[in-house]
Amino acid sequence: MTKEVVIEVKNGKVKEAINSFLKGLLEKNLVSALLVSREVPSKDNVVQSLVTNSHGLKEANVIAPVLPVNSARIISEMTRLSPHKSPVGIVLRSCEIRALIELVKLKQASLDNLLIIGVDCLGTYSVSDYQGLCKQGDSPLDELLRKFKEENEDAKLREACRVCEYAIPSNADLVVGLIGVDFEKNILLESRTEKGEGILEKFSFPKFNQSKEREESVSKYIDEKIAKRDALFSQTKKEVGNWENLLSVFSTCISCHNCMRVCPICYCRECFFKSPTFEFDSEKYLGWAKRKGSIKMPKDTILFHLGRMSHMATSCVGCGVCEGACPSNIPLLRIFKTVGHNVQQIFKYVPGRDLEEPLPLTTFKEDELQGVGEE
Amino acid sequence: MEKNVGAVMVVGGGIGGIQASLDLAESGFKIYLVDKKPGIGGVMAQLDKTFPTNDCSMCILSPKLLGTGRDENIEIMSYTEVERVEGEAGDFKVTLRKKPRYVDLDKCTGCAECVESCPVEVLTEFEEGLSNRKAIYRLYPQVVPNVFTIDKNENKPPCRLTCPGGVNVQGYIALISQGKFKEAYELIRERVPFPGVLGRICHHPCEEKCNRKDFDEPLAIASLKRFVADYVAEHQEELLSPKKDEEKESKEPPKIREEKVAIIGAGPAGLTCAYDLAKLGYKVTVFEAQSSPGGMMYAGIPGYRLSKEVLKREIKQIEEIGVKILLNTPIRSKEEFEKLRRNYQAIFTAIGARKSKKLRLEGSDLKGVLYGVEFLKHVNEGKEITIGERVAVIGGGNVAIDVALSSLRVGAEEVHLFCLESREEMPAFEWEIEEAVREGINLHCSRGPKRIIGKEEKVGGLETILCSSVFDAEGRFSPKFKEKTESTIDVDTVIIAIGQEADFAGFKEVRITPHQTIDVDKISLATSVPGVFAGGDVVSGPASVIEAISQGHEAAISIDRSLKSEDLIEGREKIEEEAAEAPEKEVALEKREIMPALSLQDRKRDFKEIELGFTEKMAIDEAKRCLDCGICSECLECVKTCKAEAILPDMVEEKVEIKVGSIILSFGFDEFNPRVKGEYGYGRFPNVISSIEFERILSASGPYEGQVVRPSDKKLPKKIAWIQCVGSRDIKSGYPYCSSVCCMYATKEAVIAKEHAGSELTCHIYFMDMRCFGKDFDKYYERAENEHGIEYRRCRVSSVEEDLPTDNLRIKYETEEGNLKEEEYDLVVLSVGLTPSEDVLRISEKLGLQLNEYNFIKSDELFPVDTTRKGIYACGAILEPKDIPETVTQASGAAARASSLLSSARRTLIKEKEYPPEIDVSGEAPRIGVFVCHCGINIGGVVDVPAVVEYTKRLPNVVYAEDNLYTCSQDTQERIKEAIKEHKLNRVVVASCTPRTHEPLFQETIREAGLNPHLFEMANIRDQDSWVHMREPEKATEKAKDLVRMAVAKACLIESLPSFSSEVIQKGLVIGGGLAGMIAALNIAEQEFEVYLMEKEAELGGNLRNLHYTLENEDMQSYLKSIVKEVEENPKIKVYRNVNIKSVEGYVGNFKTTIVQNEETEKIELEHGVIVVATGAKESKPKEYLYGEDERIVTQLELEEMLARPDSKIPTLNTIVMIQCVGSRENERPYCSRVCCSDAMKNALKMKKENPRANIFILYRDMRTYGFKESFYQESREKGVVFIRYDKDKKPYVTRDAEGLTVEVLDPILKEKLRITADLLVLSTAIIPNEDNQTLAQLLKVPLTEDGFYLEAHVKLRPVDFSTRGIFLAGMAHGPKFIKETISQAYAAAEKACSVICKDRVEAEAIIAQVNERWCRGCGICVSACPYEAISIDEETNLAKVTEVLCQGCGACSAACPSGAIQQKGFQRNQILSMVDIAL
Amino acid sequence: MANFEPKIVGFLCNWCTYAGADLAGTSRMQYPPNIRPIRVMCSGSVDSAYVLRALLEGADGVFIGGCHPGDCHYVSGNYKERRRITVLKSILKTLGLDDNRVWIRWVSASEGKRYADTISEMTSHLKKLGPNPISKYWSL
Repeated sequence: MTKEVVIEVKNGKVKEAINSFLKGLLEKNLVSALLVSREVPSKDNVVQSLVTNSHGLKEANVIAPVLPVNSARIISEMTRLSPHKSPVGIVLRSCEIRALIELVKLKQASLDNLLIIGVDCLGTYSVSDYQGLCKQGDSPLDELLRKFKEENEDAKLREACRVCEYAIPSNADLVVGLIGVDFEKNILLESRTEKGEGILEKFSFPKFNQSKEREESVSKYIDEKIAKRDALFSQTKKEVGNWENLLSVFSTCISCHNCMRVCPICYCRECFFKSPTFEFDSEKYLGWAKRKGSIKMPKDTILFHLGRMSHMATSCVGCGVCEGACPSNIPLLRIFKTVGHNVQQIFKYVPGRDLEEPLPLTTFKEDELQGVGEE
Repeated sequence: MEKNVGAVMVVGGGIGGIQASLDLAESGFKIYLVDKKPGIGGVMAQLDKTFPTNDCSMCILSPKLLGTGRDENIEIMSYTEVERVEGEAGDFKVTLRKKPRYVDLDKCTGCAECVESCPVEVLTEFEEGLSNRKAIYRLYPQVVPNVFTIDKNENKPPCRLTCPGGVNVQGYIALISQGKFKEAYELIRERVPFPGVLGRICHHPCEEKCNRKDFDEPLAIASLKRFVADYVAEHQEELLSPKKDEEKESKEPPKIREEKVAIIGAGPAGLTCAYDLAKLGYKVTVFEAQSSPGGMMYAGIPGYRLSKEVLKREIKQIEEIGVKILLNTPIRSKEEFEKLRRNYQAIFTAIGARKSKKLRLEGSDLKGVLYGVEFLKHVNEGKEITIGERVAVIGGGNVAIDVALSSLRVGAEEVHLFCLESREEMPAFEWEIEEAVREGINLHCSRGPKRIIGKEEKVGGLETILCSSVFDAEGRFSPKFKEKTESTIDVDTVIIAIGQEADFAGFKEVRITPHQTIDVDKISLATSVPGVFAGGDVVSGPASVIEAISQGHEAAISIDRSLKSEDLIEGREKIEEEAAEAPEKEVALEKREIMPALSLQDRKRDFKEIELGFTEKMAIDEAKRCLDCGICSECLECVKTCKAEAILPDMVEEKVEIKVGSIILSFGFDEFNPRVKGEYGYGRFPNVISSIEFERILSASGPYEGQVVRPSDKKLPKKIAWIQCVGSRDIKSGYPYCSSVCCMYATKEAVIAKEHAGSELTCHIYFMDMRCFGKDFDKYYERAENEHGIEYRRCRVSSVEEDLPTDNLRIKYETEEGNLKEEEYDLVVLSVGLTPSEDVLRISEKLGLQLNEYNFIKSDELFPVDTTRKGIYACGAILEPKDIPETVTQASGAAARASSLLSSARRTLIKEKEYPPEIDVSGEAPRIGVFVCHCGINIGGVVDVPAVVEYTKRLPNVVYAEDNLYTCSQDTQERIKEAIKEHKLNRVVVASCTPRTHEPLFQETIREAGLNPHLFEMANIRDQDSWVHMREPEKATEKAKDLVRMAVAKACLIESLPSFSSEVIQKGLVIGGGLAGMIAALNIAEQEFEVYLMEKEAELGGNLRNLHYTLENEDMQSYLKSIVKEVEENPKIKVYRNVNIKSVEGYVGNFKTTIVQNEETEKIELEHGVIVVATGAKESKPKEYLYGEDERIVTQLELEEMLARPDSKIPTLNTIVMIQCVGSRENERPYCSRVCCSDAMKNALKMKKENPRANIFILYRDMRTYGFKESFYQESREKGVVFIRYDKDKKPYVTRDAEGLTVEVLDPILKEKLRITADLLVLSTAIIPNEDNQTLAQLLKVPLTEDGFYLEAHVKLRPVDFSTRGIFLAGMAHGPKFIKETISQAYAAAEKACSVICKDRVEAEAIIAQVNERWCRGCGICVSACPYEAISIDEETNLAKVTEVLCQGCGACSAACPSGAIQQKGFQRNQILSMVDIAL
Repeated sequence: MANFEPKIVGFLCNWCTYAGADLAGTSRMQYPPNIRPIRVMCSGSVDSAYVLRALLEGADGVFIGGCHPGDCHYVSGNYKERRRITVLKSILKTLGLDDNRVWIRWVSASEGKRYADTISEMTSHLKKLGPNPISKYWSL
């Protein structure tokens, strides 16, 4: 199943090299459409587009280091009611694939007829940073690749990416590899499934022969990320790991629920915490305020965050789009990532790892957690 | 058929009886559930955990208990016994004996307040005597019906029975033991007005009869009476607190009667009579000749024995209730007497015997000669008395002694007492004589006075003579004197006290007897003059005060009757009653309290009372010695305590007649009494206990609250041993069969004990064979051994001995190899066997049933739940020892038999209640009515209920609130209904006890008022408030307010819940045409429903086709033929052969199954309401032991086939070896195949029968011939079959050559390898599940066990159900089993199936899940959360969908759903959250 | 904090713990009056939101009582709840709220004493822990 080939990079133009492959997919009718991120005319952001002809790939930039949306949500939108009838290729980062897998478990998306093309993720900038760089006239992608090559971590990368240990996509049919690869000359294209292998057979890419180097680089890269991640966890614990700080942090929440709307895991039609159960009449608010002296308004913002956490933390992939969407600059990523990690550890569960692995809260084992309740 | 009665009587309320009742009620029959105990639950209620799942027994039982109690069509008749059964199947007439429980079933609320007031403690049967309960009790806290019962001995206690005054002695002693002195005093005064007097001078015949004398000493009953009388007198003020006035007010004032009664004589008889009559409302006047009232109590008893103050006090109390006493008013003439007769409607003559008998003797006229009675009168009146220094008293009675001792006190220096009788014959009470001697009286027994010697006109001396005998041969007084034995003594005073007699002046008209007493009717005390009665000494001659009192009572009764013109005699004949024996309990020896008394120095010359009376502590200690012989002491404290007025002290036994069509017997078993096995020391050594006792010790609600401690010192044991087969497999003690359950329960007890105590505890089990033959039992056993470290020792225990200082026990045992060993333990548990219930003989005789050789109810292998009388069925351990699931299975099986018998009468006798149309309250603003219960004082005594009500009235949406003494009482139900109408309530909240027991009652009430039952909410302010915070009333009140506020908050949000139902296709489908399937189909058809029976093979019969005979039955093939014929000929059964299932759709009541025949294209669609899975299992073909390589190696089934052939060569074979457990109890197949041991026995016996000389060797691991099959094991051994045990890791080894087969096995006893050359090797191979179970399980969406058999809904209590409603299980598909067990299970599955399809509609729970489609995203989390397959994702909408009839309302889906799209009705998130919000 | 009386909100499953709590009452076992029990049909129906709501509204402790593992009246509700509460406690712990304010315990219908003991123990534990810190910061 695993087959590694290279796509030649001409003039160091990585994006174009990938696009040429994508173009091939459409032209060879291997897929009837492709979901890719494309640059907007002003070039300072990208949007997801479903492209059916190679012309549409002109503006495609699937490795643009920005993540305005986690595409798992888009795929859910496309496939929830009915799966694709003809093959559609989707180009995703690791966090998007992992979220997608979770959504499939939740029956919110279907992988039928999807060709998942994962790309190595070197990290993304926040939309504003991305735009800032563009305004300065730099190509954020080039900037990122340069820094990466220099092994110089870009401090501007989103925190989610700086501590992400999932640079390499899993559960993809094909993976476009950048790490441990001399991407100025070649990039790696790897098949992970039979379906992926079938695709590669339709092309005549030369074989990749630096597997070992890639493997070593990847493992070194991931180890570094894990160290950073762990540092983040301990820092988070210091910062919000006490009630007062946490209250302060969340008290600025304006209850816009953007975090929930952009979260690739939050699939509810409407959040429970927005439901009529949490609508009260004026007397009740006054009653609370009287009993307690004062209450924070809007009320129940912390309940919303903790409640949401209790619903999705087991599946949180740490993509951090929530934080990007927060108008109040609440450091949601570090809080959710830390909580998510701890919760997932209990069940040795890794969201997005395996389609067959049941969601922790939909299953149980009789002989687990035996101390709980017996004290 | 028309005459069939649609009712069934179930006898025995254990789990079997409960299950049978529930099943039959569900199937449309009226049930009478009869149990001789005061409540149902049986032995299962006593168990701590159940094997092999370690389920909490009470947790799984109590829903069934409540369900039984709640079912309208089950009438629980507890404390009731079967007296007689007449009639025949379909129409029995049963006479029942309802024992008096002395408590009104309808009024008792189970509040337990009475328990506090009850002074009597006896051993608790439910706790196996490990703790005490009160005489008023319930079996256990969760019992159904939840009412109390008074445990009363049929016989009266001897003290009470002996007392001439009929005083309730045990009653007042019990009250004293509780420090309730005033109550004790009042109880005594109900019978006698002189507690203080009697407490001092009564001759207390009661004490002589006291059962305590057989242990140490009788109780000091009189002294206790004296104590309370004095205590109350001393504490008059505090005892007469305002509370007492309240009581007085509440009591009805006595009726005033116009009739006047005259009583002549103010002695004990007269005053008692006066007292009784005054209490009845008569106007009573007492005429007394003397200047002081009291009669002989005043004049005859010296002050040192009875203080005048006491007497005065008690007479004053009599006067206080309206008795008029006229002193100095003798009736001396006929005229006076006649005048009385004119003015009074009745007269009681009680003038006593106050004249001393004269002694005619030389010198008796001398100065200085006095007479006893007169002397005492003078002394007692405090008159000046001149007496000499040396006094002689003549007489040997109590008066003489009193005279002697009084003489000392009025100045005599020396007192001599002469009497004709010898010391032993003296009529005075022994203790009085002793007292006299102690005070220095000189006794001269057997000496009569001859003459009084005069000296200067005065007494100078007394000459006496030896008396050789006092009475003649007939016992008449006729003294004989011995000549020449005269002696003289110098005395200056002689006091003659030789007896008294009455003075009849004025009473000439009444007839007098020759004995100088008034002649009266013995019972009525009527004299010869109409309207005149007589009693006391004037009738009986000089007698005791209590006897006089007794006659006073009788006279009062007669006078009352005569004034009411009633018959004087009727019902008053004295019946000889037997006295109660001491109840069985542990008695710590303790001597009685010694009465403190004045020292000898302090008592001379003084009339101060000698005895000082008990202190409070002494009285209580002494009272606690009482053995409570009557059990209930009838102190009636409970009557006072019970606010519900539920105690009925006068209840009597009742006979009730019922008509039933069928009877099911299920009264279980008794435990073997381990005392029989004396060598184990049970009963002698406190730390040798029975397994059921240990079960209670393990129980969290048991006597030690779940602490595993041993009885002797309550210390944690470090080592416990179990001894198996105590009273099982034991020919010597008369119980040769195996009790089937002990191996597992001992293992369970050891495991649970380890769980409680941790690794500290060592557990050893001494056993013969481990019989873990049930589903998953072997795994449990292995875990016990390997994970819990329980050690199993295969050996025989010869004895248990006690080590005295430590109370430890030494077990002596013989190992398998024959070595004698010893080991010490802290605790030894005897795994007692199951013996036939003691009721079995009695009931079987009454019902005309046969018993089997072991005294269990006889049944047939092929009709396992039928008794020998048609229409009477049986289930559970009365047929054979068995565990809970098999009992439950049989119970449903017996129900099936009854149902099929009575199917024409189905639904003829059940109640279907009609309710008024439901009021639509949707859209209305909540109008809540709140009812707060006092529960007598259970809540009101702690929580300030009126304050809670006031608080409640201010809560939003509450429009009405009130408090009730008992909210559950009938009249309050009416009030609630009225309040709903009056205040237009649309929600009702009750704050009282627990919704678990009472919610249905209140829901019923509001339903009757037109409200939906779910517009109801409860606040538990008793069980979880007042009862548990009794010492913090203020906080409890706060909590009650909070709980009510929370309930009201929820009530604002609750809604009417519709009841769901869906149509039922009244047909069944049985999958599998083997024995189980055929029997199930037949029963369903007999119950008059159509049924499809499908078989994948071409022929019906399944495994039965391979069986030719069984241990019990010779011809299985003809049985098979008859069953197949029955099935084929039954018009209601449609058989499909050669078919497979393609798909199963739908749900309970409405299944659609598609089947195909021979894979042909045509599909058959069957529509049906239920499914019975009876697909069977099969014998495995082994890979081991060269099977298949040699034709001389066969399986047991193959052997059976060979033996059945007429030309069988088997009888010619010399040596046959059988190997057991081939493929069973192995790592890859860790279960026991259950039937193989008995199958081996069956074939071995068959071969022995044909060829007794054949050598048969059976190589086994544990011989598992459980139950009565043990006898075949026994028989095999007797017939010479050789049994050789082998270990799992030392299996036999088989080789073959031309000569024959050689089997090598290690003999564990000889520790040597045995080589057996065999002509035939028979392998007892495993029973294995069908390969296609997996496929079918997936089609049906039902689970399989790890072993591949079908997994039932609950291994204990739902053995034939699946979790999914409407699908049932029978036969070997469930696990390996015998024919008999298969048949029972097939019946059971049929009954379950019919209970669904006998109705047009299947009802769903009202509290079920509901999807809000606007919010649902179809994620399926709820689907995975549901354990009942009740939720699915709709293919069209992609949203969750609830199959209402499958939902059980657990709410798991609701908690799992992140968006709140699926919610549990009645427990919606907004409802719960509103409670949380308002609580804080 | 000598006079501090913790407020506990309890969720008791109908079949085991609620029955056990009733048994404690029937047996007159005394325990502190700090718990406000809410009856639910199964511990498996106790939503995390209930627990969070209680804590955020100032409950000093939240108690969840269910049947012992294997005893669930509804087959497996308690196993599911065990996971759910474990997750919730982990969240609370990570965020610095003492997760010991949330107790989940298995109490069977026959364990009246265990219920009484557990509530006593929980009350004294919470007394030591002091009031729910959120009550100081209602305005946040």
